[in-house]
Amino acid sequence: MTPDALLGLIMLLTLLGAIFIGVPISFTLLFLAFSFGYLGMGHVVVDLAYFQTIGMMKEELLAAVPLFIFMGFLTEQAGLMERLFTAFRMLLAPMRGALFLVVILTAAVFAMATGIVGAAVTVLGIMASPIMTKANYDPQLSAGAITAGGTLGILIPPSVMLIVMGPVLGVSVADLYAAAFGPGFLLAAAYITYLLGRSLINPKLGPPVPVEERVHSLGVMLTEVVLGTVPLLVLITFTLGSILAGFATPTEAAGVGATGALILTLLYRRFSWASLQRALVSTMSTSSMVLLLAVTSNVFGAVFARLGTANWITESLLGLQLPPTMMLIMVLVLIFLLGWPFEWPAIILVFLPIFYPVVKAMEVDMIWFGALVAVVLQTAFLSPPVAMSAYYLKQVVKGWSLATIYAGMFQFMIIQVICIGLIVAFPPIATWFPNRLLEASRTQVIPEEHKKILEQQRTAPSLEDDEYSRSRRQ
Amino acid sequence: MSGGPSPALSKFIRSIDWFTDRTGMAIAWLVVPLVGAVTIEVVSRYLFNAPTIWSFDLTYMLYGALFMLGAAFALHKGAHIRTDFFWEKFSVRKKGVIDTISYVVFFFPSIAMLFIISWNEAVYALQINEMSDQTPWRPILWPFKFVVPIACLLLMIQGISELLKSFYMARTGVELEHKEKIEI
Repeated sequence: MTPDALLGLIMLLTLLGAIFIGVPISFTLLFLAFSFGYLGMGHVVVDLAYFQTIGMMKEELLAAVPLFIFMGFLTEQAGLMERLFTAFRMLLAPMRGALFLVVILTAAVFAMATGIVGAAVTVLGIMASPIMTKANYDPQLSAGAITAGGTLGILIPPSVMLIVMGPVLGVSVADLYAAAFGPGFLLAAAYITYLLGRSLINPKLGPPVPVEERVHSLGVMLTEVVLGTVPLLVLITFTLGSILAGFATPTEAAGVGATGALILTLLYRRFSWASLQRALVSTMSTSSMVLLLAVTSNVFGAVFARLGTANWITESLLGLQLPPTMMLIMVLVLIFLLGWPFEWPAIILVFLPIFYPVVKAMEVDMIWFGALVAVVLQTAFLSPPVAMSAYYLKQVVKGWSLATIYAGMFQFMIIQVICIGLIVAFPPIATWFPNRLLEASRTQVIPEEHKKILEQQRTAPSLEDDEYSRSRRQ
Repeated sequence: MSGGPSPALSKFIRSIDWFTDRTGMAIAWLVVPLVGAVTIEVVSRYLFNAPTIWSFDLTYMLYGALFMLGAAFALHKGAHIRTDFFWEKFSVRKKGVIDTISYVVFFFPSIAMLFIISWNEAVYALQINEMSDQTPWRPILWPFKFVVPIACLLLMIQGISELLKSFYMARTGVELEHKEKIEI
């Protein structure tokens, strides 16, 4: 171990110490990069920091982050979740555990229009919890269904987390999106199986919707279902379909998706200047938080790599000579444990780059690995005691105690763990769809300009240093 | 200590917060041209087979400006993530002490440093009238490069307000404002 690598290791430990106390992560990263970088490499660190910053700001791919967040806020404002919920509730009313099914289906469809978690849990909490309470649904299972369903937003495309993860793992966002569908739908199906199974065995947990509350006119039902679901499904198909088919980059799809969502708010007559301003401001706050962390963690990462600590960690871990599966599971467990104190932006941007070389060296399929990390982090959203989704739900539903919410979430955590095990054991759950798309794109005759986009998608930009090294070469 | 901070201090903090609120709400509108630029490019490319030459540059410039300039507003709203593993259990006074130290030691020196470097780079870009080499459009780069120092300046302005709030919390054990977590 070189003295510089030791310096980097001390930098990493200082970082851990400081952020565990609760110092805002972005500014700690920047400060440590400047101070330790200056000790290790002198004045170069200043240029390095600047080029990392401006390089990140020029990363056109990441423009998809604010665009997809904006699209999510707009679809929420258009009242589309309420629409979906009402439509599904009418359709499924006679079933046992109907409302559970409605919550998961609404959440899964809405997850395909939004890239973050907060909105889904909040809106479902406000909307579904009074209805479920009134219908005498089991509070634990209800809270679990809402929080688990809501967290699908971070996993199922257009997940913002996957956009940020793509460059970190050096894979294309389109591939990660394709890989997240399998696990996402597997989880939704597992939730539904569990919830319906429990209500079949014990109907008291989730009774059917009372007969007098059902809609008996087929016409009313059909109108609601068509008006409530079709426009959103069209928007989703266009947005995600164009990325998966390779017709558009994630940024282009996100931009068009946001325009589509804006048109939907107008069509549903839910547009107002005040709510537009709110959506704009929320979009800016959330993207600024994620992307500023991306900037500062890149500055930190560049210093860390230059000091040689990243190499040292990789070599030490590989020196353990663990079998690849063991190592993979170890990394996933570590990421899960980090998911307790940290939120996903910190894990993807600060910690994943540290594990990445190890996983890469073991020749693990990065797309599969990305999907696994995404599911593990989604699980972290559900794991008490510091689970974001419990926090969101508690804010809007005062009637359920935190203990009830935790008890519900814990049952779904077990489902998560089983599903992670399945994805580890059967990689095709994640990799089948992206591989299939790759094959399809090979056999298809693709127009020249589409080829260019595909190329751009496949050669995922590396956030490491290219701006910096380019400028040095000049 | 009762009755809150002195009127002068309170007014000073509130005017900084007001300033950041206003500028933040204005900056958030950058999302609209961003959506527009991307949509126009897609429509003209796929519907009219006539791609624009300006869309790519404009897209990253608007995106970069949005999140950098929005950082100060995010700071005001408490959006920049911190670990609440132990944080939630700390007393108000202890939170105040930690925040005061982290603003003085971590925040101001590193943001000031970034301000100085980026200011020099931006001025240099203006002097040589640097142009982008990423696309045939070749727009001038200095307005984009001035985003970084301006973002740092906005951050430091809001940082003063946050430092005063945390210092007040550390001294009196009274929370001046409570920041909610944002959605991620």
